[in-house]
Amino acid sequence: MLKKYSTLLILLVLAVILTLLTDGIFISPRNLTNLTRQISINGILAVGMTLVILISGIDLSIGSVVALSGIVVGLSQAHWGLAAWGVWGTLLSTFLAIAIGMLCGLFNAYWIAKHHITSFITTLGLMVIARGLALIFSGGIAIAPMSTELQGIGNGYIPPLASLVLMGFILIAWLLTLWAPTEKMPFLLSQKTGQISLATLLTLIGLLSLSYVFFSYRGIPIPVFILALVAGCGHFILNRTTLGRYIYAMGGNLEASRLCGVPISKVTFFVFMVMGGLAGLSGLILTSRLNGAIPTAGNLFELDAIAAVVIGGTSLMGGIGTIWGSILGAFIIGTLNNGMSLMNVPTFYQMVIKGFIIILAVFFDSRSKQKTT
Amino acid sequence: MTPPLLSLQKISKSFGNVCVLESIHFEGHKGEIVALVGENGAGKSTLMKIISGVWPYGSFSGTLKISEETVHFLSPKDAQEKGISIIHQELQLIPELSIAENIFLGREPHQWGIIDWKKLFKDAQALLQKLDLSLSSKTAVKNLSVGEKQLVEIAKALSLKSQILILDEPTSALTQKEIQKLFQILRNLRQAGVLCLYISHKLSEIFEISDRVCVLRDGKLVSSYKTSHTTSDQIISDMVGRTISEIFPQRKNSLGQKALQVTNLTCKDEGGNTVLQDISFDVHEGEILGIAGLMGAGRSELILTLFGATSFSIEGTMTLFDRPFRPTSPRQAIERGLALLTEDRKLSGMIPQRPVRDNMTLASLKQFSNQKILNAAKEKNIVERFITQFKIKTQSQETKIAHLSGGNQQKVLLARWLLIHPKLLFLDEPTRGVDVGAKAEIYHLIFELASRPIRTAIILISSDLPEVLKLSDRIAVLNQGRLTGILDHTLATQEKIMSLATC
Repeated sequence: MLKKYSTLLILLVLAVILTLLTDGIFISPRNLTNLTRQISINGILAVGMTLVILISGIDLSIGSVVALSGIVVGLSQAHWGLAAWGVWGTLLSTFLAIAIGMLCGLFNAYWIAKHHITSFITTLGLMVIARGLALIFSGGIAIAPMSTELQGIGNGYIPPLASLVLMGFILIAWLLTLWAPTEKMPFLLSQKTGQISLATLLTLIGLLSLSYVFFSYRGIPIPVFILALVAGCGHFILNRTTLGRYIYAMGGNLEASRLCGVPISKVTFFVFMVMGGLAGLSGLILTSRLNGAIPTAGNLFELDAIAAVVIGGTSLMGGIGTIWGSILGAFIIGTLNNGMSLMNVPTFYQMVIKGFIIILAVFFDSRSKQKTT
Repeated sequence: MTPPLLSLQKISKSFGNVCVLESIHFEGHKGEIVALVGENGAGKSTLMKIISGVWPYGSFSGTLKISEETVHFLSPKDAQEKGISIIHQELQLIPELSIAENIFLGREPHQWGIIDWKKLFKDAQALLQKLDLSLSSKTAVKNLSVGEKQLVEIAKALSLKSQILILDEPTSALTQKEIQKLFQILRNLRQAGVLCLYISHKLSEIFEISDRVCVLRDGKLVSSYKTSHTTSDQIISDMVGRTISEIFPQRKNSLGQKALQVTNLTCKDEGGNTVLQDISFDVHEGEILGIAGLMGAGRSELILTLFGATSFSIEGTMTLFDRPFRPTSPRQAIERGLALLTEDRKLSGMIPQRPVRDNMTLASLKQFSNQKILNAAKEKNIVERFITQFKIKTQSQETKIAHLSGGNQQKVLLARWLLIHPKLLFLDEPTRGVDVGAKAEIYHLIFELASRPIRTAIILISSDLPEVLKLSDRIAVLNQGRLTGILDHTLATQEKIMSLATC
């Protein structure tokens, strides 16, 4: 029991401590809404990184790809005149950002799948290349401004009432997936024990409290909505598609997968291009939020994403891990950042504390796993 | 009577609710070779892990005594200090290091922290001489044959001055000659007063080497005999709990259409070395073609090549059901109806951390999906059917395959390939490391596949000659990459096969 929920437990303990230390500011709907917005970029990257690490790869280039795609968004808006095109310009910039990201992923996958260069080296190379390109294209300076429509992506909200309706839809959709018409047990209750399962209960509580948080402040932040979409797709792919099975199998035993006819090369291309595309999307959100593209943005984003994935229980050896774990991991890192800022801990000290907490979280997790096996 | 060297009293262990060992009593004396037999999952490995300290004190109940002194091992190191060495089924040597470094790993002779290389190599050489091995102790382990590696492990045990030596299926990868050498060494150790615990599935070996046989079944020690006072039938029936009148079922074969025709196949590896030369044979629907040969004769290479899993350059022509066939990748081979159960479950068969279900359906996901989206209910039903039909012992389909015993893992992997409804099935050592009961079940499955109405063509590799002789319709013998003969099963004998394999 402890093993399965250890990450969630860490998050809850952190939340309680921070609430006590900040006289309740931490738990206010306003702060929690901000917290979800703050973690959305790392969350999106962590979803992609989960896939990459599941096939026992790594992608170190994403921080630079975030910057590069951000610069392309900035250029398209401020220099190529897309800012004047309103919504259509925003869509085109979005498309450009994701395309650039996927192109970077294609580059990685090409060297990894076709020439068998380890992902560590390939993506390390692209990390430097993409950062260089971001600096070249921008001339080393920030690019601004963006259109108001594009700024909305990073800063906007889905209005509270619409948010509530949306959360309702999500709740109903989720309940529908639990409902198995052929089985005799009533709705929500487990077939085996006849009781509501802990996972179901926790998800229910989580969804309801999120609804409350969003409704009582200003609604769902748009980046959070994007994260939810991305995470949902990631979860679906991993659990309900043949592709997901292939991803888990490749990380578990590459040779066995090959002999079972798993299209190793195709899966590698898919995973790295998705990762790249998500990095492009993150670059767009970041640029929108800052209302400007900065060539040095996204520094060390890859490490935050890797940390989130690993805290979430994904094995660096591949083959084991879930999207929800990584999202929880992103929440833990985000909660730390948010809480320490609320408590006015100086930034330099924040880094030191964060590093220790990452190690401790994984240590706690691996300990609890060892005990049960 | 002298007090026992090793004594186990009421040893029990369970994983969760599953009891794997139940109140085991055992005594072993100096200078004795005790064979330990039992089906996979009977608890042999767990028992050995308790004796060798892998499962620490407190993780099981009961008492463990050495020379009448109760011991509490907390780690394998503690057991080692008490003179207990274990030689695992999977050898645990570091391939890049030399023999000497492997033998004294972690115990290198040193002065002021600097390794005394001269003494290291000299001591190791002395040990090798003791074992009658004509190798330099400076040789890298990766250059040794499996048999030689096994002997290096024994040298390591000797260097630890072990009084109890545990061997877990030591002969599964050895040639006949190497086995004889190993037995000679074991006899010498017996003379020197060492207690050997010998785990094996091969009954003939047990009768040759052991003084006593202990049979484990379902976590209980069901019988213990003086080897000279028992028979293999007795042991087998103790192991499976019922008499097996006939392990090898009878079968009438009826050949169908020609499945695979290979003509003048020659393969070269990337370095240009010839791996297979001028090989021609065919196999029909409903036929079992055995492939015999020594290790390194090119048996696995042949079927891996036909399955598209090697990067060899290929010459020659092949037809599959009268259509030209050129293997390029396993994926293409599977699409053409080929299946391959590999030799090494761990290396190239299982996805250890994934559930039984995922492992079983990995090669046939197309059947369970629509537009690449899985139909979970359909998959669940079919997996459940195979688990029942193959009598796979697992808690659920969600159980990780690594938690199953070897025989059950093998059945899952066999089911994986039957799910694709293969027209031509390659089986590479399908019963290696599998107990008698599971073996019999696998034989029945193979026969069922080859008979009507399925009539799969089967190509079977096995190092177990009696197995090849009993199962195959014809036997092709490979020798150093060449096909030296194809024998009909009515004419084949072990002697004929061996002479073709070694000529």
